[in-house]
Order: sequence, then C-alpha cells, then structure tokens
Amino acid sequence: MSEIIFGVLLNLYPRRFRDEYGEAMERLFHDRLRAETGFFGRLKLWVDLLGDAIVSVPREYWRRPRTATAPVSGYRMSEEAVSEMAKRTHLWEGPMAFLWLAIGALVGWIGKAGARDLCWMYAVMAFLFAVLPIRGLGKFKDHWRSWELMLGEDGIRQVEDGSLAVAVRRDEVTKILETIGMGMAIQTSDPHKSIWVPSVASGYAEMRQRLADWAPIEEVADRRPRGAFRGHIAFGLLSLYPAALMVRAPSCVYGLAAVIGVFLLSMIVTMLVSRAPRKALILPIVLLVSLVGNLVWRL
Amino acid sequence: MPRRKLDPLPTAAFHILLALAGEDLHGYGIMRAVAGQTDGKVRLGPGTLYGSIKTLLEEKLIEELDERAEDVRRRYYRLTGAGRKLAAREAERLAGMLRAARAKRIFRGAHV
Repeated sequence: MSEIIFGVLLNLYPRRFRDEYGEAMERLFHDRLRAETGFFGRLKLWVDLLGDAIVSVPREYWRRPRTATAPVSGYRMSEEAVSEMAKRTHLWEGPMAFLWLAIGALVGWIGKAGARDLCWMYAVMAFLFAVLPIRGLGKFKDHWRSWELMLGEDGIRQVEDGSLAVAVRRDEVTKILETIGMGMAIQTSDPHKSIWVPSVASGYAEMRQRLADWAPIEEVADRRPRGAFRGHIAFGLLSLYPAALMVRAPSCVYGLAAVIGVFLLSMIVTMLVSRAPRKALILPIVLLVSLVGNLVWRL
Repeated sequence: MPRRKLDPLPTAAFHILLALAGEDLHGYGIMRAVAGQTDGKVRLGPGTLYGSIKTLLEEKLIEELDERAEDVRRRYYRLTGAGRKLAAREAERLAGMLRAARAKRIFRGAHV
C-alpha cells in the first residue's frame, strides 16, 4: 500500500524529473520505510513526504531549463527568433481568448435576469485563460532558447532543455516537409520520431541545403488558419456558456453544455490517441470536470 | 546579467554541501547526514533532496560518481572544488551574521 501511495506522489512530478531521479527517490523512500517504523515513525514519514511533495512538485514544474552557455556547434534560436516564434503562437491566442470571454460576459450582462449565478465559473475560466498562457509563454520561450540542432554527416540530434530529445539517423529520414515561412519537418517512418525546424532558426537556409541531400524536400501548404479557426470556435462556445448561465435559460444552458462537453471529450480522446503530453490534457480535463460539476450542481 | 539559481544559496543546498564535505554519499546517506548535523531538525524529503541535487549538479558544485554500489539505484555524489569554496563562503557569511547577532546581544543562555 505504501508503495502505491508513494508511486502516486512520484507521478505528480514532471516526467523529465521522474525519469532522472524516480528510481533514486524510490530507493530513498524504501530506506526510510525500513528505518522509520512504529505508528509515530510512519506518521512522521508520511507527514514529511506529503509536506515535501507540496513544496517540491510545483518547484520542479517551475524550474527553468538550463540553457547552454558554452560555445555551440549546432543551430540555435536567437532571442529575436524566439520572440518571433512566441508572437506567432501565444501572443495571438491570449488576447483572442480574452476577447471571446469579454463578448460572452457582455451578452450575459445584456440578457441577464440576475447576475448572481456562478461567478466562480468565470473566475476559474478567467484564471485558466489568463494565467496559463502567460506561464506557458515563459516556458515556451525557455524551451526554444534551450533548443539546439546538431547536424552531422550521418544524423541529426535535437537537444531540448539541456538534454538529447530526439536523434534521427540519416538513413531513417523518409521525407522532409517544408511549410514556407514556418519551417520544415524531418520525418521518419515512426510518426513519433520527427524533428521540427522553425524557419527562424539560425542558419536555416544552409541547413535546408544540407538536408536536401538526405531526402527530397516537399513543400506543403500552411494549415494554420484552419487550426486557428477551430480554436476560436472552441473559445466562442466556452465564452457563451457563462453568458447562458446568466440569462438563466435552462434549455440554452443544457444544449450548450452538451455541445461543449462533446467537444472537450473529443479533444481529450484525440490527445490521448495521439499521445499528446500529459500537461496538455490538464486544461480540457479541468474544463470538462468543472462543466459536469456545474451541471450536476444545477440539477 | 541573469540571476544564478543558487544566489542566494538555499538552506537545503547548503546542508547538502556540508554533508558532502566529509565524505561521498548517496541520497539516503545525505539525508541522514543532514539530519545528524541539524540534530534531527532538518529532514530533507525526496523531492527537495533530489531537486537540490539536480541544481547543484547543473551548477557543477557536486558531481555524480561513476562507480555504483551493489544496488544500481544508489547514486553517489561528491563535492567539487567549486562546491567547497561556495560552502566555505556561505559559512563565512553566516558566521558574520552570528557575530553581528552576538554584538547586539540578542542571544540568551548557552549560545552567548
């Protein structure tokens, strides 16, 4: 039982930290389990472990990745390039989410029969949409600052946050897809083993020339608008939900909740199937749980 | 200039440097040494211990030994020259504070 509980605690830490120190932490836990016996000994042990997890888990998530300061031989991202990448993604999504929320609030305020309904729902959503993108922006920039590509004669290695993330041998490369103005994807037969090279990376043109000898470079259309459009539809639906709660129209609330619920569920399933990082699942799961909890509370 | 991770030196990191000043130790050994040098008042949990070890390794203040004991899950650590210097500097800083506190006569009893 103790092992299971400690396993759950261990799972709270970021994957990278667990991979590095998980076994050693388990060893330490077993040593303490053997040494600290008796009711009070065990109680003290668990108080220590829980207190430690409360402090150290968030600290590991907030840990800034180590950026290399030594001279590099590979391709990296300049500070300007990192800012450009951030502009392309986070700085657009954040204000758009706020705009949708503002529209939802306005609609709700205009049609309200009494604005005392479930302010916490707004608080949770505002927090998620405001704080997470801001935190995400910092992590996004740190990630790309520490990104590095080492291109050799027989392979290419991608370094992230100071450690090797992907290594692709030259003979493994099946095709290279380039989206003009965005970058190129170096693909292998394994869909989970590919390397994305942003066009703003230093030495991109030279790298492209060298990679052209490895596999033919195929140009593809930029599919961003479609993805962005779907994202804004999702934000729009979510923003209308609190508005519907405010106007107190049950049929509208339940219908909208069902549509949003199905959307969130399909998003979670898609992410699970495509083996998306666990952290990316947090937002849709929190939204779905709060939506279901809200409906149960109303019923 | 970017701020260094260990400026100021966190208490847990200082305790680990002190524990490793005597001998090379593994995680549990460090935890016991820290408990010993603080009369049992500081007991580093696994998250704090290995989080601090990770930072100290990144800053090259300690190093991991290649040879492993009979249990491969035990990882041994050793203090580097830079780590010893930093620990000495921190000890001097604390000693200076202690002198100032004594001069102000804020201690009572056995500490005076």
